Amino acid sequence: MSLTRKTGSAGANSSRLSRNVSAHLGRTIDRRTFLKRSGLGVGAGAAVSQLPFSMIGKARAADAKGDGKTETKRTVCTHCSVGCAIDAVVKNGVWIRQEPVFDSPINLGAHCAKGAAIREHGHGEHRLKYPMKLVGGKWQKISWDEALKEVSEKMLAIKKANGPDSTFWIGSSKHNNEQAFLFRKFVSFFGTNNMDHQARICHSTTVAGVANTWGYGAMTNSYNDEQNSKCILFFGSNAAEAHPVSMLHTLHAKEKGAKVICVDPRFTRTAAKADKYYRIRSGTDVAFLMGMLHHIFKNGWEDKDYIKARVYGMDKIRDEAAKWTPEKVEEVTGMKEAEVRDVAETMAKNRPSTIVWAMGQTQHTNGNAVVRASCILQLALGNVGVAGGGTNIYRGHDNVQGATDVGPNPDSLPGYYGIAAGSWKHWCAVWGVDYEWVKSQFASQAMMEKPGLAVSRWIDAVLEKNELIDQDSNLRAVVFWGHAPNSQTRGKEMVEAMKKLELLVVVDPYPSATAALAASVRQDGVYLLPAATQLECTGSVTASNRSIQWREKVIEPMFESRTDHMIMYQLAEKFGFAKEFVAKIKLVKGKGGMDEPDIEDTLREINRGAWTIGYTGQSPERLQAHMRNMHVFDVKTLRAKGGKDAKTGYVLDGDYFGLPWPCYGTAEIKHPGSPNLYDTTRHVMDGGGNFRANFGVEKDGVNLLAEDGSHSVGADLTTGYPEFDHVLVKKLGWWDELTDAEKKAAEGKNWKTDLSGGIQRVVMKHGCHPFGNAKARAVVWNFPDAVPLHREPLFSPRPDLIDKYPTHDDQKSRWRVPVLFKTVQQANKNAVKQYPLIMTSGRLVEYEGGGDETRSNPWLAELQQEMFAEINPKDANDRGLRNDQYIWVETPTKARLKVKTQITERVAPGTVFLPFHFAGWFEGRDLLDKYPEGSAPIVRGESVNTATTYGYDIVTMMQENKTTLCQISNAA
Amino acid sequence: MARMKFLLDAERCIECNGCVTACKSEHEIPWGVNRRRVVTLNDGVPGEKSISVACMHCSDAPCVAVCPVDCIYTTTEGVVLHDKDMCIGCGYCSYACPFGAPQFPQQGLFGVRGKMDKCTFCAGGPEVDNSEEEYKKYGRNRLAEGKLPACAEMCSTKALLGGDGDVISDVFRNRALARGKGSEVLGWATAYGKPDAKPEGADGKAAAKAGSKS
Amino acid sequence: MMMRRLFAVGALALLMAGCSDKPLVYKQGQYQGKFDAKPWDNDQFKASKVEWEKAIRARNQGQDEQSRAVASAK
Repeated sequence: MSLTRKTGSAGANSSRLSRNVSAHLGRTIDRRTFLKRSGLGVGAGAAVSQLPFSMIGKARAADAKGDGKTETKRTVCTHCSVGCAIDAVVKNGVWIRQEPVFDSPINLGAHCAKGAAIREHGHGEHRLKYPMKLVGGKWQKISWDEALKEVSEKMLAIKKANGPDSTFWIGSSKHNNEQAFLFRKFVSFFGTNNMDHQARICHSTTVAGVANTWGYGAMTNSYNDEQNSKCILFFGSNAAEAHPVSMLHTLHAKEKGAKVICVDPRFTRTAAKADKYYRIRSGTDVAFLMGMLHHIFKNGWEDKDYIKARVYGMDKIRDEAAKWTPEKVEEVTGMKEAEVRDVAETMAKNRPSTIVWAMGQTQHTNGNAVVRASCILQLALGNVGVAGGGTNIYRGHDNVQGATDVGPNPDSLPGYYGIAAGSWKHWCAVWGVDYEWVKSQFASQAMMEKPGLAVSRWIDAVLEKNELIDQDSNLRAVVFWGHAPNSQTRGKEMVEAMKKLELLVVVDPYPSATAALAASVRQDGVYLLPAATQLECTGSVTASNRSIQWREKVIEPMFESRTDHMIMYQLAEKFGFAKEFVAKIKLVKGKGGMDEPDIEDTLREINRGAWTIGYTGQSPERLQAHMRNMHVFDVKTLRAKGGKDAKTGYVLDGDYFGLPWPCYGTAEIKHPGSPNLYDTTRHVMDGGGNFRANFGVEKDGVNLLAEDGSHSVGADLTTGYPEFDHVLVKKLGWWDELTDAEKKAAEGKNWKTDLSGGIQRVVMKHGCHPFGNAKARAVVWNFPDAVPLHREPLFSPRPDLIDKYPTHDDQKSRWRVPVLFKTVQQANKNAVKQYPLIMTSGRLVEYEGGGDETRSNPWLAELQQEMFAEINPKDANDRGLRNDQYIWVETPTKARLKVKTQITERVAPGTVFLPFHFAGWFEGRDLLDKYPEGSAPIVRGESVNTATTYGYDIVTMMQENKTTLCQISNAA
Repeated sequence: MARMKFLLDAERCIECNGCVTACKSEHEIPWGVNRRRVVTLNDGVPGEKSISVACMHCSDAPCVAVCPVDCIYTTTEGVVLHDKDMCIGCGYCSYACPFGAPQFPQQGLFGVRGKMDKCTFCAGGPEVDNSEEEYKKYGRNRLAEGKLPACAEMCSTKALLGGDGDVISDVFRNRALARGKGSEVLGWATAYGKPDAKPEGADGKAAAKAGSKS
Repeated sequence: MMMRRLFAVGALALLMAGCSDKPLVYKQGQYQGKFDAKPWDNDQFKASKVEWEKAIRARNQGQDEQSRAVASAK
């Protein structure tokens, strides 16, 4: 039980217990103490132990019947992106036990509260059990046939009347790679790019910012690789709560001497484990990073040779950093010169050093600039492409990396191919469908090549005046397919949008807050379809470090739920494109003997097409062999030392665990995967690399390719070179090394579009990198701020700084909708007078994402029973507030949240922190009666995002979750 | 073989509650009953430390001494177990326990308590090992399967160690040596006597010792 | 002092408990009270304490990430 954030009795007791225990750490506890203490044990027990002990044996009762066959299924935790392996013990189809997988090089058997509680999925009492529809404001059970018929008919009618772009499909980072990939295809065949998923609101700024800096928008190294670090800077990550098992590697590194520093507005649990903690004002990240660079350049701590050979534009950064004097940095961030200098010096003098971030950096109106400034810091220190260095970007959901790589992105086809005609033609060839037919499904070729709406902005596409949006119709239908509504900002307006829609469909294992919110404002036009969880199907999942793991199905889909790919296929049948949907994928019998696309075959289709990011070498057979032989992989390097799979004879030696992408070429050439990106100390066939040549060969007369002598080990070309195509291969005289069949396929193609993989194979044989060898870009000239700039948040607590560091000008149209910057900032310049507190949000260890799933798990729900706000004692005392009482949190949107106080010095005076996993309350009202009966989560509470304010990143439409303003008052 | 012990490394514990839910899952512990819990000291300020607490299976267990019906016993492996058929729910063990481990689920009318329940070190109780009866009353018996407590085996940062006292104090000592400082080991001396029961490094002198050796 | 008071209350409770349950007297022995098999007295370990201890020691290594790191680095 978490005694620090609990309900009344336990909360009141916590300080007493803490006092007692702290007074006796490391020595005998006397009798008086234990008498006091045991009072708590009984009291706390008495407060909640109303349930009989009879739940015990439930699983046993189930295993008593049948033939008693016990099997162990190896799967991967479905919560965060660490990728913890799980051995599920199943008897007669009932998941009876969970055993630690000590062999996993990623988690070594370890789990956080969520991973250790995952077997509760086998109970699933709060699941959505059958299809339902809203009739006269009440939920009504319907059959699958009715549901599919009605949903598809309404969808087609809306498409016919308003065009395919009047629909919006919110996919999921919870889907496995195959389902995410199929979802992209499915919505494309429906005829729109209006699709998105959680990545938009978690790491879209990272993906765009980092990819534009050096090639790929992903974590460069791995959790494990932190064991090679000498300094780890947590800046915008609370890993101890968001990625708990990663801390196993971090704390191991710390014990081996690595310095751990945490810079955060909040004294997080990660900060508690750090050697040093420094507080920063929320939303001033670029100023701090520039402040660090100021000290680095001033003291000559930068890696000059590295910069010269591998970085473009650092001189412009030097100019910008020079402006960030310690006084200016302190004025903006609140951090003292000594603090900033200390972080810079520790990072510089303890190399390799790494920087860790998550949503603390990304969820800002200038998120793209923040992440690029972090990349620049690491480039200045020569830390990228180095074991123990890199940018360790912790992704959120278990498969948000994979869904970003191959899933439903509104601006890109699987593998970041973009949506230009050539990209469509590439994928149509892979899918085995006619490009012209796909084009005919869209409203026009122009719409086919125009990025769709972002999930952060769908409400505006419903509510905005039609003449202001960049598509024919406003949105009429929205499908939430594995996505919580309470993770998106401006919840109060979202409810208005839900009200206005013609059709709202939820496909999810849980009815989710979408159902309750919709039922609170609508009478009909809402459908709920029960989906299976990832424990009820098989497939591959990409962890944050790009390692791909294979999940075995643990149990059959519970109740009437169906797998996501089965539901897609069945809707495709209704939409009339089932044949095209699985043109090159075989069908297998799924639940109830019904057809569904074969998952292994789907992965092979990904393998056949995703050459850009090396999703081609990870065949299902290789991934499965890795899962069976985890013990041969080294924990520090992730590399297999010897080893042969007993089942298939596959030789594991030299592979990196999970074949972290890029794993170029076909599976047959056995690329081992790339543990650390851009690492020139290794041969490309050994997982080595260099920065990508994706931005031309020169800019304004300056060479963009790597300088002479900078290349990965063993490369035949010992200087920078552009990406490979058939012309370059021919010029180098390597063409005849392709087989005749490869030549035929590769003629006129490049490394990304040659479906034979011949170009990649031959290029790598020469030790070269298919994507070329270039410099990283410190200056990203195609972004609005080529050099990262600090810009004050739209809702800033410092009106005096708004004029100095104003936000962007308003934009007429980005991602099909207008986006406001200056107008909002100016209109709220004095909001701080009425709303004097900074409001920020973040994670709790017990819950995940929107929380509908984890709050339905009693083992987790018991640990955090109420939504709360962390408030500094000063702010509380000034308002006459006591611990554990109800307050109203109000933001400039006038939305009000009724939450409990948690008075703590974790937050500084002037800052309020709220966790974002809660839903089910709306402005003080419990929506319990709006959920289908029996399926409301055990714990419900206010969603912080009901009250979050307007604000988006200019490049990606990332929403601002971390910095806004609020006021709090007594709700008693 | 040495006796079974728990050891909590507060330098490692991140209050993730994995131990709590691992226990819940392994034994299907109902809402409101916590055989293990995590307590945080100095919450939210520098010096914050968390500790995971359950029955420590003390060498000279005070609960055994005070139980009026003698239903609590210590096995040869050093695990403190009890007989729920015998327990009268009087609560003395709870008063005697330095760790607040005993709980009394099944709250009935005023003043009447259910049978005591506590951590069994995943060793079941006095029923046929891994029988239906044992599972219902006490939970799984992992020790009889050659496995160790689920909480320690699944700890996210391997802060909580549980098993052979010699092995786990070796593990802890290696860590303390590596980081050059020890850590407070809550209740180790209380549970297992002192001073020899204290794992090396727990007093913070590991570094000095290591230095003098090398 | 405290102990004595506790025992006094205990005796009362014991008396009251006696109203419904027949008090059992526990014998001092290897295990007090009811029989409880030793963890190696089963099919898996065939009453071999040595085998069981070996299994436990091996299993215990799973709690040491250093040994996993070292073992796999060899």
